[in-house]
Amino acid sequence: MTDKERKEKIIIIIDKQKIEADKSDTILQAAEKGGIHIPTLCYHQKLKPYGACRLCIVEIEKNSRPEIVASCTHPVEDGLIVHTESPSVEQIRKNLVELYLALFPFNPEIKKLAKKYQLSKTRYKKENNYCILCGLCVRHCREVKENNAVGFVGRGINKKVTFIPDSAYFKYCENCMECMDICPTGVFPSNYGMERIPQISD
Amino acid sequence: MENNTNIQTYLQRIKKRGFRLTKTRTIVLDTLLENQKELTAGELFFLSHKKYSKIGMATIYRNIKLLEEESLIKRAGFDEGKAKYRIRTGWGPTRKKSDPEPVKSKLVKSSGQIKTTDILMGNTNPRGTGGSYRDVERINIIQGQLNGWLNDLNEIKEKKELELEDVIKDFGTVDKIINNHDNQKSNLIQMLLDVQNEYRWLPKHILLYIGSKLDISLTDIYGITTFYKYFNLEPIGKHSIIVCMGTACHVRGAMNLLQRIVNILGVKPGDTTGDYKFTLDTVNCLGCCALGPVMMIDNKYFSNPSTGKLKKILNRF
Amino acid sequence: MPIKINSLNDLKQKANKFEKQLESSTVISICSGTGCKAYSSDDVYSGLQREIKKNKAEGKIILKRTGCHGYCERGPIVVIYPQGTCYLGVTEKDIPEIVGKTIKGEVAESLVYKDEDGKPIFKESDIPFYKFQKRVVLSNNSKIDPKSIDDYIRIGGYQSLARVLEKMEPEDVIKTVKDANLRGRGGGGFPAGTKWEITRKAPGEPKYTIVNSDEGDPGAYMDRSILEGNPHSVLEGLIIGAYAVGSGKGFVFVRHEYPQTVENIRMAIKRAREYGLLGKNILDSGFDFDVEVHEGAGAFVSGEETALLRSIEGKVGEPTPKPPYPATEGLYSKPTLINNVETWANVPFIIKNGAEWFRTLGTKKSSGTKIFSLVGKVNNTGLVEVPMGVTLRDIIFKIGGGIKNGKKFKAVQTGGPSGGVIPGELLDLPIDFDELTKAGTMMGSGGMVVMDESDCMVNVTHYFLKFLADESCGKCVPCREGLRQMIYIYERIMEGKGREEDLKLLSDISMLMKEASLCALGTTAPNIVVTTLKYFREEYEAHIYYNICPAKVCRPLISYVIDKNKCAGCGSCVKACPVDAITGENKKPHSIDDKSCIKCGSCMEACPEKYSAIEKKTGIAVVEEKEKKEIRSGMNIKSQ
Repeated sequence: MTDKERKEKIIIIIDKQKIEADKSDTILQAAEKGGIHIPTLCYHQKLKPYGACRLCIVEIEKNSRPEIVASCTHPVEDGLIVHTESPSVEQIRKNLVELYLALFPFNPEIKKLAKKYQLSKTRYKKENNYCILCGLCVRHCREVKENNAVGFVGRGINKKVTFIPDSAYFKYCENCMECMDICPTGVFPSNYGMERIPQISD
Repeated sequence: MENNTNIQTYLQRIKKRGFRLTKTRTIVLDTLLENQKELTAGELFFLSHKKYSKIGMATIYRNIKLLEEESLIKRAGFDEGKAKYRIRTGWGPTRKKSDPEPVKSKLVKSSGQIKTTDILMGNTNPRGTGGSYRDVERINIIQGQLNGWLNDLNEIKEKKELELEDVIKDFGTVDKIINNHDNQKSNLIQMLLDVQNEYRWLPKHILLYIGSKLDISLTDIYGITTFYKYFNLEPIGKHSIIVCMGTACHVRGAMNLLQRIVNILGVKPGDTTGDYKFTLDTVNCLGCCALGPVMMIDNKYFSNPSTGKLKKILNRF
Repeated sequence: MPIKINSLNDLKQKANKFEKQLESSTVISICSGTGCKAYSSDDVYSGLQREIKKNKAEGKIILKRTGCHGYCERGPIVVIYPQGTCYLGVTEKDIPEIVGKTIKGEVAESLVYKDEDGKPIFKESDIPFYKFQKRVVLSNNSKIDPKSIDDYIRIGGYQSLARVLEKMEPEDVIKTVKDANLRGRGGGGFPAGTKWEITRKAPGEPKYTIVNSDEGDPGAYMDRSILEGNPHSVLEGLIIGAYAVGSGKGFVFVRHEYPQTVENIRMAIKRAREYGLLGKNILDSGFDFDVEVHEGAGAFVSGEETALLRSIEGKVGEPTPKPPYPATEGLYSKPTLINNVETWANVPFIIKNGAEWFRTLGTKKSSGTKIFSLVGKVNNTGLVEVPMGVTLRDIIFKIGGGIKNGKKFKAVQTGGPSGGVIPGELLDLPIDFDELTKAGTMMGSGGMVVMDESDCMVNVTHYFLKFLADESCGKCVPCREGLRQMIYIYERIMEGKGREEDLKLLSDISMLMKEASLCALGTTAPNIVVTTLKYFREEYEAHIYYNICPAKVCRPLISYVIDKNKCAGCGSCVKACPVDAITGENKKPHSIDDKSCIKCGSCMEACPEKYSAIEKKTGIAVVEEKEKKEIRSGMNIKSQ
């Protein structure tokens, strides 16, 4: 999109409310402009949207069929109809919050949603490592600080966040500790230089 | 002094998270901090004991183990066979007052490849005369980073018993590979595939070199090498045994075949035998489903060998 | 130095010339696909070479290696041309007979296919495995040497490209592909013509075209056979597509685990460049296009189109959110056209024979043919190409020859890890993009794994979930954590510790993953769980309520038992047991200690057939005291 196109205004309808947004906005940004709150975990204003936590899902009407999409990454279209609390969205989000309760129940957003859906306990098996791999620390260090000191290793269920390798931590990290502040789980200090993967640690 | 405040905040955070800072632990950490250099366990005991006589040697060892596990201290080198420890704080390695070290000067003189070292060693002054305070600091930071890199090289050299000449020769091969792929960052995965074909694993010094040559952070390189399963970050055995775990082989009993091999070799999939002869691995489909369950040793295929036959086959290598 | 080819006429002349060269000779062709290579077809090739030389027959006989014939159960396959006589299962000791008979113009009867009555069938196309297929894309594999561009030109190769460049506008090409209703063969089934049109209209330069050959489905090797056996057909389709959308640069993304395929496509590109069929001013038309090969490094998820683009960009192969779609914002944010190997391979045929012809094959909504890799417990495993709309029953029983060892059919798993299972009662479903999706599974890229009564559905589902959990990129929470939690539940069920609420929990996780995952791996991962729960619920219930594994597969629920009446005390099993769990005196019945037994099955294999004294038994019935549930009829719940 050209810069001129980016600034064009369009109207989208969220929860039956008409909201004016820029053509280059995502649904989440448009909702923010209209004062509608959509819960998020891995979204941060200064960072590019990532789409990992899936808490921000909404229902849109595409070709007169409903579709579930993540609002933090889906671009707006003129006349798009969005529902943030339709029955299917609520059911999915309830399921998702129940899963999060087993991963890390301390985050205020999760606690609020759990109360709303009346979920006091979870059927899922609890995990001891609270990191949900939202990537905020990695993205912050890469995009805002441009240091690239924290990163992901592995893939799938073995994915972790770490400084790689220990000596790189000394090289790239400027010790600003902003990654600890941005972590939503509050667990980042325990991961601070903690991962010792044999092949890549001294 | 600014450093001290950072540490205090850091320790406060740790405490908030639930890590108990007992008196002993605080004293051990304090001692390490005050001395700003690496200490052996013995030295640590001696200095801590002066502060708080109730500390015994056993306590020191116990606390060192715990603090290492919590990654608050780090083992850093050896002194006449005894391990030395220092605090993890995020600064560069403590700058040695006496330099250059033998490795550095050799590199500068013999290969001339690492040109930045020339500048930083003071052979040419990048900013005319003097330069501003900020520039000197920037250069110090870069020098610190380079020192770190050279330290890494030294450690690798010690651990893997590489000759420095071999290391430099390696860089010649790697340069050729990088040139074959047009020096482009986006061809990183293809370059790493070529390196792995050449060396059968990805040696750490080559990864460091590629990272510095193409301006890719090590974090990204390690992110990529651990994401894609083809890359080996540890040296592998002479012969690779691959067992197909595809659906067709699975329904024909691939698990039993794998069990038989594990029983004979004594290693799990992903590991190498102690004598570095065989590396056992599984793959998700070899594409010969009619032969299932199939296993591959180097380039030869074997279809469902029994335990006895396996022993005979392995003895051939 | 090869001379550049400049026109359609040049190609036709060359084709005639090469055809004439073969006219006076007999051709012995041997399949050198990876499957046959594993059967030592290379040794057979060298042996044939030596034998021909020994008989001084180099003038009369041409020896050729071809691509994969598809009948992999009976490899190595040798075909004699022009007669079309087909020899199966050729080994080195058959070589003198083959060469001798061929020189004399006779047939080696012992090596041809024999039907149930023992009648010999000489021609490859008459063999039941092939007779019921309609081979279009794979038709040329058995006739040409994949490493030779001249061979491809001989059978009319690159003439479709020449026709396009000389006589058609890009919009005409797109219209033809749209009219033919060619749908993506990689699993998505999106209309290729529409995708081409969107890419052409999208603003941005340069545009890229990509061949997706990152076939990671375990048990599927269709793409490998096409790209390895006939790489030029894919290249030709790719260049036609690039011309249609206005792209100047292309990539072939192929798995590193297919070394022969990588070699063949690299050589094909080199040869095409030499003839001026790639590079600047292709066929003197003013169109420039070149191709680069990129190898994958071991990630199933990098076959997803956005992950593949990130891989080519040198990043981690994680899918990125769609929209924006690659057709508008793909590689380096430029419009990119990605299609599967099989889709590209269909294009030259559509141009040559027309859109109408393509629509005569297949069903109304799914035109053309599809290649399936039929593997598992069938008699004839191999690659099968049929028009869309053929029923599953026909493929498995007519072409596949029915279930091996006379066992009973239980289910067929289609579509790789993204698909589900289909039970016996749905075998008459026609296969196309839409019918299977309605049944809860999907056609996917064409994998078809047949299972019989000795396969446990719980175990198979667990296998697929473990595969997906390892191959998932791990970015989004529903997929990663959902898979993790499902695996915990399955492991409990397989150990006999399943709980009643587990089945509801599995449904809930499936729903969550299906709706909220970021990419198609996550949204299709629960298909296997949902379909096995739907069609084989009684098996799950047997595991949970009775601790029985009816198929006798789940190790914690089975025991190996020696029948004291049959055991002769020969001791073969004792030698085979890796954990020394079998005891017994010589010539007296032995017994297995259940506690130390690791259930590997070596003892059962070692027991001589005349005794057959070892059998598997599954669990003692353990009934929940609180609730007794009724199991659907058809299940024998006594201790089996």
